[in-house]
Amino acid sequence: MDTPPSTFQNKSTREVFHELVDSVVKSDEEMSDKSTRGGDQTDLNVYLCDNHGFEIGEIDHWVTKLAEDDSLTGHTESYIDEHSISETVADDRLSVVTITTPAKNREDEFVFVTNEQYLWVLTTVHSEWRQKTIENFLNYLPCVERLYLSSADLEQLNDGIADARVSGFTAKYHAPNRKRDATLQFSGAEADDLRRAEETFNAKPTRIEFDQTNSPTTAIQGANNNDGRVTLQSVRDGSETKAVDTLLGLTHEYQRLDKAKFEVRHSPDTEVVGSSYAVSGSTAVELVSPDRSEVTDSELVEEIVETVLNGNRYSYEERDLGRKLRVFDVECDETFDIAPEAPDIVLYARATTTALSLRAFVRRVYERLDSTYRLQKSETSMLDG
Amino acid sequence: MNSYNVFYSSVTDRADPCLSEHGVRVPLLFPRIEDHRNGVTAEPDFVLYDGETVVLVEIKSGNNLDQRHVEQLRRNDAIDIRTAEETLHSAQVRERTEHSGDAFAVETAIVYQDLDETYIQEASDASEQFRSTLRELTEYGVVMTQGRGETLRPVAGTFEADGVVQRLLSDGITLPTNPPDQILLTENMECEILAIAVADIWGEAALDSDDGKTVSRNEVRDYFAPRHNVSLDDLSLVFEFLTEYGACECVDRDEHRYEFRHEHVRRVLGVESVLMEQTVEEYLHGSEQSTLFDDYS
Repeated sequence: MDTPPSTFQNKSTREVFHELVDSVVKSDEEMSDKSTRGGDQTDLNVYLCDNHGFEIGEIDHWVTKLAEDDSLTGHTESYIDEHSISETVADDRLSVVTITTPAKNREDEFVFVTNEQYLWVLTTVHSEWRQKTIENFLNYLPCVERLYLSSADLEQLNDGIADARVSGFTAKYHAPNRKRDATLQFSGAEADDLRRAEETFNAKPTRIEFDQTNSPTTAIQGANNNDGRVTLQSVRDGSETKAVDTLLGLTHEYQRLDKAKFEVRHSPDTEVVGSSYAVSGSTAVELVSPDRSEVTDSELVEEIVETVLNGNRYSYEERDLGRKLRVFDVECDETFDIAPEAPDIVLYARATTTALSLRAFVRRVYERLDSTYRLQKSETSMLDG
Repeated sequence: MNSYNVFYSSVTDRADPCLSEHGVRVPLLFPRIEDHRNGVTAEPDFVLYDGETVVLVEIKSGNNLDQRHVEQLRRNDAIDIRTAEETLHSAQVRERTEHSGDAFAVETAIVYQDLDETYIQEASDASEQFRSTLRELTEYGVVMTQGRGETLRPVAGTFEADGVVQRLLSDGITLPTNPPDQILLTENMECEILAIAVADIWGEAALDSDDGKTVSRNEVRDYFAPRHNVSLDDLSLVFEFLTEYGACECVDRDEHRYEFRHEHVRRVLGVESVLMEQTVEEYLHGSEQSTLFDDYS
C-alpha cells in the first residue's frame, strides 16, 4: 500500500475509504478485460469485526499477551514466532498495522479503524497472504471477532444494493455430519441461478458477487462474504464516490443484520429488588427448520457434541436434568445454554453471554453440522419494554 | 424449580403470544408482600403487572391439589389494590418499567403442571377431596395448567376483571418445549439446590471480572432472605462442598469468605451433575446410600 499512515490522520471514515478506493480504480479496458474476478488484480477488502476491547495503539499489548499465554495452541505460537507486528498510529481511531513475515521477506499493511463497537480492517493485500497474515491475527485476538451472516441475511444485504445485480456466488450445502456435501461456485451468473441452486441442491450462499451500474455501464464490481468481509474488486474511473457510498452502505447494513441476530440486548441479569428479585431480560438465538430427517433431542445433542463442541474451545456440562448443555467458551470467557428442541437448536444467553460466543457457535453449526438452518433471535425485556 | 422456569417462559418472546409484547412485566420474583393494615402476609412466586392489573401467581410443581394451596391462595387474594401499589412502588416499577405503578385490579392465580381437563374430570370423579379443594381454590383465584410445549391456560375459576393480561391468559399461551433454565430458587432450599444456586449466581459471575468474585456466607444468606430462610450452617456445608469439589476457594476462614475465579468455571458448571448422583453430605462424608432429593422434578 503506497499511502503513508499520516495521510489518514484525522480523516473522516468517508475520506479514509476514498483514499483506499482509489487503489482499485480501473480503466474501461481493465474492467472489460476481466473474464473472471479475483486473480492478480488488486481488491479492496474490508473486514468487519465485533470489538470487545481493542483500542488503537494497543497492538503491542495484545501481541505480548498472545505470546505470553500458555494456554494457546501450537498454531498461535507458530504465528507469533513467524510474524512480527507493528503499528503506526494516525489518530485515536485509526492506525496502520504492518505484519512482517521475515521468512518470505514480506511486509503487509492493514488499516485498522475503530468505529463505535466495531473494528474495521481495510487492506489491498492479496487473498493468499491475507489469510496467513491478517485473518489469522484477527482469529487469535480474543477481544475481536469477525461478523457473520446467515445466508438469508447475506441475500438481504445484497438485495439492498441499489442498481446492482448478482453476477456470481458461492453456495454450500452440508447435511448433518457432512454425509452429503456440496459447494457451488458460480461466475457469470444469471438472474435466477441463485434461486435455482437453492431449490435444486438446498445450497445456500456464503458469498455473493455483484455488479453495480452507474448509468448505464458497470461501474462497481464487488462481493459480500458471509464471514465478515466485504470486497470491492473494481471501480470505474469516475465512480469513486458511488463506490464509497456503496461500501459505507454495506458496512452499516452488515453490522445491522449481524447485530439483529447476535447482540444480547436483554441480558438475563438477576437483580435484587428490595427483599426479592427480578430478572431483567431474556435472549435466545434459534436455529430452526433444517432440511433433515427426523431426529431426537439426544441424537441432536450427540451430533452437536461430536461436530461443534469438539476441540479445545468448549467445555460443557449437562444442566436442567439433562435438558440442556451449559457451555463454557474458553476463548471469549462466556457461558451459554444449548437447549435442543429437535430438530431445532435454541441457544439461551446467560448473564455472561455476548454476541461473541453466540456468533462463534452458530458459525460452527453452519460449517460443521448443518447448513440448512434458518437463523432467528427472540429477545424480551422483562422490565423496560 | 423447573415449574418456575416453565411459567417464566410465558413472559418471554419464545412464548406465543408473548406477554411482554403486550406490556406485561415481571417486576418481582418471590416477594414477601405485607399488608400491615389487614395483617396479611402473602408470598406469591411471580408478580405480573401490565400497567393496570397486578397478577399474583403461585406456581406448583405437579398436579397434586393440597389444602395448604388454598390457604396460600387465600392470602394472595387478600392483597388489596393499595398494598399491591405499595409493592410496585417499593419495586421501583415507575423507574424500571414504562408503567406508572397504578393498579386497578389485583388478580390471583395458581398454576399446576399438567392439570388438564381430562385429569380434572377423572380426579373429580374419583375423589370428593379433590372436588372440594378445587372448588375452594376457585373461590380465591383462577386455577391454571402449564407444561413444556403446552398451552398455559385456565382450567377452573374466572378472573375478576377483563383487562389485557386477563384476556391473554384466558386465551392461552403456547409455551416453548425447552424453556430457559433461569430461575434457581425453590420453596425449600435444600443444600443441593442451594449449592447449585450459589455456584451459578456467583461462580459464573467470576467470568465478568479479572479478579473473580468473592462472597461471604453472610452475603449469601442475605441475598436469599427473607423469602428463603437459609441457615448459616447449611451455607457452611454448601461452601465446604463447593470448595472440596473445586468450584471455589476459601480465602478467609474466619470471615467465611470464598472466591470464585476463572479457573473454577468448569467445576461451577458441573455442580448439578455431581449432585444428581449424591447429596452434599454424601460427597463430603461418603455416608450410606440415600435417595436423590425427590423434589427435583
